[in-house]
Amino acid sequence: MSPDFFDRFSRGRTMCHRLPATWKLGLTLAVIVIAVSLPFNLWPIHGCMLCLVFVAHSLARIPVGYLVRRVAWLLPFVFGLAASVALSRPPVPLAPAGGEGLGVRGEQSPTVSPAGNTSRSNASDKSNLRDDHASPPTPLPHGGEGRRWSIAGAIIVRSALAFLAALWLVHVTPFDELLATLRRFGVPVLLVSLMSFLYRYSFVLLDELDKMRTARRARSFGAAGWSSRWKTNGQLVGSLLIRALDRGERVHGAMCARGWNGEARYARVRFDQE
Amino acid sequence: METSSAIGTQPPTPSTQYSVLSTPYSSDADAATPTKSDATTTLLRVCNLSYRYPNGQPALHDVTFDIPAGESVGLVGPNGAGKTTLLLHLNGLLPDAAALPSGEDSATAGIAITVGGLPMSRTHLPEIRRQVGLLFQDPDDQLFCPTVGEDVAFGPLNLGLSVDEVKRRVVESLNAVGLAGYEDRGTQRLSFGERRRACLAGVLACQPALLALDEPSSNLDPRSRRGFIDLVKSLPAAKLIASHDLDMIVELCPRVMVLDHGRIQADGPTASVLANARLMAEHGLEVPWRLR
Repeated sequence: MSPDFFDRFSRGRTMCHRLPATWKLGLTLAVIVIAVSLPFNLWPIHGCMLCLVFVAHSLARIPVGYLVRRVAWLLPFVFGLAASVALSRPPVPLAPAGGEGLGVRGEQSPTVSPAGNTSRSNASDKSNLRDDHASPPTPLPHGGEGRRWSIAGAIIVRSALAFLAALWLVHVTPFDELLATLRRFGVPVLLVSLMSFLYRYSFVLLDELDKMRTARRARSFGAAGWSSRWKTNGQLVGSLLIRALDRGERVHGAMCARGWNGEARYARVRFDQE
Repeated sequence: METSSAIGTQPPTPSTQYSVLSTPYSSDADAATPTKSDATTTLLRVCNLSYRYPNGQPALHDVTFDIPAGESVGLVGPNGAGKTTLLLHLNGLLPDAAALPSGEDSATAGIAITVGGLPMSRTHLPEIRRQVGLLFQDPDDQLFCPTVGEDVAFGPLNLGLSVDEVKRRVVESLNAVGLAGYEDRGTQRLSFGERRRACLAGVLACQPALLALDEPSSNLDPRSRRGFIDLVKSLPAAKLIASHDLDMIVELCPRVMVLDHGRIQADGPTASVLANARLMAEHGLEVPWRLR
């Protein structure tokens, strides 16, 4: 795994890189909050924001091809979510209790008498229960089919906006500076420490996974079928988990060896380079 | 099984087997009863240290030795001999801190490890960890911060030093290991040799009196290895170097200990111990090229 996989362009010298990290983080959060708060049918504003984010990327000299490849990772998840909204059938509202309407599956709703006897369309029970449930049925958020497709589109655009904004942030801010800024924004030190470990050990663990996959390929001789391959992949992931736990213990030992006493702390010492 | 039988029996008296062991370090009785001059110069004292892993497997048995301030000692032995386990004990990483005594006094009776006159106890653990700098075998275990500067600063910050002092130590340590100007470099962007040097810088920044180095030359190319050996040689601190690189041990350490099956099998001048072909063969080692 490339050592600059997450933040390849973060050490650049463009105008975006020179902005204070607090501004960059604030701007990114603002874009994300606005994107998710806008009414979903305000397409021109969504479009403007997308343009704005692309301009920010171009000012930071992040290549479009690189962005497209990164966004492609996100698309399967976002499209899956959008499709689930667009293609879902809105549930048929339940009839008022005791009524003769249809349930979700189109069955006649049973009613329960105060005595506990179940009956269908019993006139006396109907009169007893109708008073308790006299309010009209709440309209469900699902509208027509066009509305559902609009929501699906909004999910895609909002996700892309938020993802591109976050991508811009990590590519114009060195990760250590980003962590220090998060601390300044009041993010708990434990969370910042966890992010620091996640960043550092993503490379190590993915490298280990790569080595294990290479070792598997070297001994599979191309003969393994799909089922066998899936089984081996499962074993690889299990093995990686155990290795990660072992490494976690060793890292903990290394931290203790240098005076760590269990208290989460984070301090960034700034080194001014000539 | 061979291991358990070796552990379970009384250790042979090494001096009867190998003439090279008739040195000041070879006698258990001598080591257990320090003289007055020893007390003033001995930096590390390990006395009858035994340890079993949580699964019951024996790891160390009656390990006894001492290291005077400033001395370099090699620790050699086959895989699984207990070298890393011994080094982890010196830093208080084994056994669990909960298993350590909590006494605040400096009485050493019944305590297997003493560093700088301080018995290994929960109270003295922070100071002992400052005095014993442990370099791990895998640099990725030790470099856990996103940048080199932050990682080197980790120990000094935990010592409670001021930011200016931390910064000074970081710059000094990186200069000492030949990584000047690497403060803002991402740790994942370093070569293996650079990572090992950065780890050493992190240890040196705590200004330890004893460096415990676990396989410091493993996986290094010849040039990096040479550079690392020269670097370690230039450091004034006492050193305990666990390694399979016997030529490096010959070059760096005037004294060597052979550890096998959890016991110290030999302890004496490097040139004598490592030149003993029979001893080397018995413990899965070879006479190094420099001594052939």
